[in-house]
Amino acid sequence: MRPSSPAAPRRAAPSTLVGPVAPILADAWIDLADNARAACGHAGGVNGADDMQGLLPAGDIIVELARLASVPAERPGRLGVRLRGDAHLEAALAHLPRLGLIAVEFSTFRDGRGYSLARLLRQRHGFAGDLRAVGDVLRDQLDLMWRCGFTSALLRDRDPLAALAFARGLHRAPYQPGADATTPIWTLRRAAATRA
Amino acid sequence: MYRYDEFDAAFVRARAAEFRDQVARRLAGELSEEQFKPLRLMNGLYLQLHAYMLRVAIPYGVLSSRQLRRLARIARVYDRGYGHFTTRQNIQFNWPRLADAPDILDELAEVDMHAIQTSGNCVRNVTSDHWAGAAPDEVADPRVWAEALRQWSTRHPEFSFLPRKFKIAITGAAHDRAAVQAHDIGLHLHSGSDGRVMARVYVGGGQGRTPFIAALVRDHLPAEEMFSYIEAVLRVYNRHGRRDNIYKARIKILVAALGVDAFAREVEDEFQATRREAPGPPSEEIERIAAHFGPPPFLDAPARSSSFEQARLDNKRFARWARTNTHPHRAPGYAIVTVSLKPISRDMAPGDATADQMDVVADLAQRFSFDEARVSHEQNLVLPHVRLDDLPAVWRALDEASLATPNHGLVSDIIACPGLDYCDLANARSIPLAQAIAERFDDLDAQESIGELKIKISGCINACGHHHVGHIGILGVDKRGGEFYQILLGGRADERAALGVIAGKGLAGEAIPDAIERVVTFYLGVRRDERERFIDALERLGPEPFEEALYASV
Amino acid sequence: MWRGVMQVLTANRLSDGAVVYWAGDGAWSRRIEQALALDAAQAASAMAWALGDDRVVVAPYFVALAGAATPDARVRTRETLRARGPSVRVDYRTPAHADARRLGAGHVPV
Repeated sequence: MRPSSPAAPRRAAPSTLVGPVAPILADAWIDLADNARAACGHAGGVNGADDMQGLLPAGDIIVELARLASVPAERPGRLGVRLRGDAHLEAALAHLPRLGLIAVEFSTFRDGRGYSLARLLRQRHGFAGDLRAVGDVLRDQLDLMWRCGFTSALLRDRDPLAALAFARGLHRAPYQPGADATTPIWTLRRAAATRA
Repeated sequence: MYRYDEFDAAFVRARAAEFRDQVARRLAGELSEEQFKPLRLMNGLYLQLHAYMLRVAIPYGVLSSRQLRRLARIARVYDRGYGHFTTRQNIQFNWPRLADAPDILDELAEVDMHAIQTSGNCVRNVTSDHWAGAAPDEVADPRVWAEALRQWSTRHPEFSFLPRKFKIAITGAAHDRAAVQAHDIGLHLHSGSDGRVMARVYVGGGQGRTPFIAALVRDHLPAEEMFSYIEAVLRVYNRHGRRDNIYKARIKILVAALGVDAFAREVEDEFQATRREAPGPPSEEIERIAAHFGPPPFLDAPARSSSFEQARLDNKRFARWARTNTHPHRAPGYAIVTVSLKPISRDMAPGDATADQMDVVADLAQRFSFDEARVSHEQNLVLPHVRLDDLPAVWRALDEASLATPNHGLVSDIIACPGLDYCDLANARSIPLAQAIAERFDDLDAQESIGELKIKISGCINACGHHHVGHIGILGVDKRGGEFYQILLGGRADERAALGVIAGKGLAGEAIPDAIERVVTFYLGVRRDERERFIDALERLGPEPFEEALYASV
Repeated sequence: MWRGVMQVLTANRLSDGAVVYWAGDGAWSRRIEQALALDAAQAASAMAWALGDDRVVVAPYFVALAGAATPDARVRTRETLRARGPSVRVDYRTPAHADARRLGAGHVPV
């Protein structure tokens, strides 16, 4: 193996919330489970507190899976949850009807567990709210994410518009069906054969 | 064989165009190396010891003459005039320039080829029996399913970032020539009671640092359900496979950790859902693919050929080659031909072919083998459908091109990874050692009398040279003072797959040919008769006396 | 003549992957004979240069020279092969006729 050399520091790109077609400009969700935000003091204390009802801000909030049960049902505003790749999915399922958003965290772009979580939530458990990819999300993966059922992504890219155009250019017709409405090649072929 | 339709062609062209854009951005400084590296790896472009290396997929080892000629052209125009066929039925070019890589991918796309998923933690090139469609013991044609799996796994939305790489092999014959039990998933097709094609499913095989023979998890899976079943296996693996330690990330570790039964139950539960949610290609798609793999228009030939028999009587060299490198075919009057890429020579590496040699084989495939050639995981080429009458002409052409070494399955037909001569990961060299061993046994009579003996050499623990499943396996180890090798005995990669056991301490490279010669001499002394192969005698007597012979004078 | 931790900086050229050695003043050479022997301070500034513009070379690293804290056998063999090209056959070798003696490697036979 090649002896390691000092790596260039990873260039931190800002995050932009995007949908499959365009950046999402109006986003009401407050991510209380985002450790980065918490560290910056935006939601200080929330992650650590067990009885946190009194601390919850108004509006649409995203909380950790472990906090979900303690959020009062009568609370105004929508509720979302943040799942890590190793999340115990079954624990979230009981709350599915009250969830408007599920944020699935990619700890690095190599961590592919979120793709499975997304398909399970969409295809097996019928989750109909916003499914959001967060964490280390690269433009080269957006098409995979849309196909697994994600509807938004917190994209790390210096040029989000170029990134979206790039992602749209990736393989318009996939071979296999996914969780989205893209028509797979297997079906297109049948249609082409019928036309012929 | 399979030909791309408009959809396949568009997919591969789009991918090549995308990479052209990425390379241009990299060379212009718009992408850093850190950003670019995963993108080039997704297109099979590695940075090796000396230069870039481009790994091109040869799906299930099948090549048309046009494709093989194109590989020759790429070797000639963009590389140094040769390529290396690998144990994964791929070809590697050792010296491409980054700036040329987009042109190479375009050239490949023109002939229905690509380098997609030849790297990365995704489903890699699906490998198969290099005698598919030709072997007399074939029950079902694995190429149909291998092609369907190729399509199914190509840029799979869920399984492109698995914990680690994932290798699927499939065979459809009684005798397993594809080493399916040494793969993450091995599929062995057989015929169900009602004549349906069924699959025996093995999971969790693999070599590397912690070798495992795969466990049987399903005996009778209807073949058309393999897609949902594999989806279930991959989902369990993707969710629960380890991601914290690269050496424990393969599915074999998960299967071992959960236990085969618990793993199989979990997959079965998942499968009950995936068969509804993700049913795999529709039956007409399988039929469409199968239509590409119908038998070629074999001539109604007699089972014996008098011109072939006469040529054997007239020419001893031809007769020897016909004995070792031709094999019975399912169609009367035809033979399967092994094109040896293992010359007993210091001039060529095992599995290497020059551009000129590739052209020779392409011409022969076109004239004599219904336009088809194959790549075997044993790093040879195959002409799958040659008329007995044509064998003398085929032999003469191969012989002229140094491609007729009569050593199929013999001691000099050695599998060897590129080793430290090329590879950035290797501990020791493999190729010169393979050459030295082959040279030691350069007497063809002796080789033939020794009989089947599979030597497999890896330059490091990653085991690309399959040393764990060689009758004699050789592993380059990292040791002070020079290149050292460990020897393993008793591995096999067929339907009775087994892992070799390490036989004592490592030896210096210079000592290896002597040691191999001693153990072979010992075998010749103890075998019951000429039909008892090296591996049979070893299994009958146990490895200990063979180990003693290995180290006799050390 | 090589004392202490003298080393050379090597990398692969971005455009074609060729093995190159730091020859000083922003220059890279295909020939190990032209590699500059670097002390610790020179090494740091050479590496900074290499990492500073990754349009020229990729994956830079240091190799200790013969007589320095001697690299182990595997590293020596590896670096000899890297400097000379594959040992498999003569016409595969790196055209620069690289002289790898500076790495302390002699003939590498099997």
